[in-house]
Amino acid sequence: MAIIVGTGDFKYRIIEDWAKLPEGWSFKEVGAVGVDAKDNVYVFNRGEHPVMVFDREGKFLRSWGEGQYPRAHGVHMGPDDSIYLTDDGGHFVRKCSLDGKVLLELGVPGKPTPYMSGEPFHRCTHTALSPKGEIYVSDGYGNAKVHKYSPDGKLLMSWGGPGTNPGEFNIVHNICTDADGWVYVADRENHRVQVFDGNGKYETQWNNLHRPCGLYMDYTRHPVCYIGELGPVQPVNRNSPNLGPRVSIVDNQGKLLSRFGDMHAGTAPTAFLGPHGLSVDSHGDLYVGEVSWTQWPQFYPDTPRPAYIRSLQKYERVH
Amino acid sequence: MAEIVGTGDFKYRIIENWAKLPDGWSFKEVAAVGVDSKDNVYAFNRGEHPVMVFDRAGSFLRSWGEGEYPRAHGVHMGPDDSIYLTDDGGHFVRKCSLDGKLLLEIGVPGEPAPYMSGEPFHRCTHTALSPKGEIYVSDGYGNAKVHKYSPDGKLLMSWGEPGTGPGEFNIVHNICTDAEGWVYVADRENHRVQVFDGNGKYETQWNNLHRPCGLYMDYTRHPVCYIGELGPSMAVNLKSPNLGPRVSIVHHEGKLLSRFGDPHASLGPTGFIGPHGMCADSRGDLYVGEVSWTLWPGAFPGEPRPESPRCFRKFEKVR
Repeated sequence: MAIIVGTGDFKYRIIEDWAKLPEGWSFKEVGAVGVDAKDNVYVFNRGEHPVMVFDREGKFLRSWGEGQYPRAHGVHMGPDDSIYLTDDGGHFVRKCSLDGKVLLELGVPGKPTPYMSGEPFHRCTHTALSPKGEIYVSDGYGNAKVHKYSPDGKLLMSWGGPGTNPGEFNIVHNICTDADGWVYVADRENHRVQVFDGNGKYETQWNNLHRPCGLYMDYTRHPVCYIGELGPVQPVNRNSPNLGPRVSIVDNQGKLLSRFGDMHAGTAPTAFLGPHGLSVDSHGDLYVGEVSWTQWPQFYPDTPRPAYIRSLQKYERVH
Repeated sequence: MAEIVGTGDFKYRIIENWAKLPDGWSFKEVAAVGVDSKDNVYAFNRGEHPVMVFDRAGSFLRSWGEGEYPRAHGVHMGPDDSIYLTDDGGHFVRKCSLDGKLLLEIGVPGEPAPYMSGEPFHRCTHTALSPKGEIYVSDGYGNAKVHKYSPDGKLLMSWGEPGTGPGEFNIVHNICTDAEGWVYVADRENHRVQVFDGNGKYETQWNNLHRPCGLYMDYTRHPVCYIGELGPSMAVNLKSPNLGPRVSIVHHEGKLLSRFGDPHASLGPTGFIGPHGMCADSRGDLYVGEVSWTLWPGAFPGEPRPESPRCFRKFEKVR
């Protein structure tokens, strides 16, 4: 029997084992997911084939990027049949065609700037586009900045600094935009999403979240926001229920519309380990990539990591 | 020259080595502090003499509680020359006279309620009083509740659940009240202070904080709130500046008035390691107790812990 999760207008049927990988291949874990105009799905993963492409039935189409992506982190799909890949281990952003041809590269692969220097990049995390095609880069683990680039990759401005005040960041982990040009930033370890105008002026923040990590919004006016939240991993609260990992769907003012995931981290179909990258196709179906391999020892420090842990699942919208 | 810290109307001169302990005695670390109506100072600590009392010049007056308090956690001073001590290791709250005579005990020493059962107590953390003398207990590490008791210790009601929504808690760590009966709760790992009416109805929350841990408010109308904030302790942000540990002073609606502490955890003259309990005296001088011994390995991994890292200072208000 199908398992249904979520509430209200955002209920989903879980499709287990959706992706049919070539024999012997593995994602290891999935940093992020993107969906193109034909509803093909791009799985940016940390295995030996960093970009694997599937059709909406989960049939494998192709792979690319082998040897070129040290640590998959973020995906954003461009409106011009392009894909923006952010690699935090390599400290770079690449805009590629859908078959993997590099069209633009930001950052110097393998060369981070000094920690917290504010200069791009030190473990950059994700990208988004302005209505004019300017590129926002969240940066990241070793900086506390959002950088804004021209469409051809010229640095225009940066904002943010480490801290907890409005406009300050504590792990800038994902970034999204909407068609009105608002910029939404997952400020992960401050447990909030901050909203800015297109030039970094602080507008508001969404609270009541737990380690918001992955963000996805359709590029429309007033889109809902899909948020992957990480769970508690400190000894002091690791066993507490109801803190994630989970997926929350909020309206464009941050009001909670739907939330799913078990009370604790887990490997059951309804549970999550580390929902890290999300994307939605034209049917409203949701794909959730998880960094399960990395998260496992944080939840289960005394349990050996299994050889296979689920790191991608499809959630088919129930209409 | 004495260091001056803070800003605006809340500037302080740091008094190093204020407390004159008897020869060979140690706090180990100071979890909480109270000040009585004569401005004598009660340092509730995790050494062999759990309650040490000093006059305002730092001269040692007396100690009590030896062998009776497994793990000092919270202090609240009653208006009737009493002191409420909360012991999270012992799972109990005791109301004592100022010379240590037991007047009331809530909870069963050494016997926690089951984890997250909601029943009092599982590592309770702090107390506060309503205008009618009813006792609020924050509970704590192993529950996600605030309990309300009659002045003579009868359980009246409880509120809260684990989670991140309004009225939910992720480590209920400290609690304060004001003369109008508002209840302020340090919801530590949700990075916020939640405000409730006297019966647990959610009113608002203060954000832009980092792991708010110790709370102190004068029992007046519209008092300011002194907040001890813990610093980052996860590998991912341990080295980030400007996240605490620090002390923040906010007005009764949460607006930041003054903040001090170094950009990182530090034993330097203006730094903190774990500002965990605080109290102000009749002159506005502030005492800050720190759990430096416990937090040392998390803040300085690999660095040998000093025998007794600094854990108690007086901050004399500059007029």
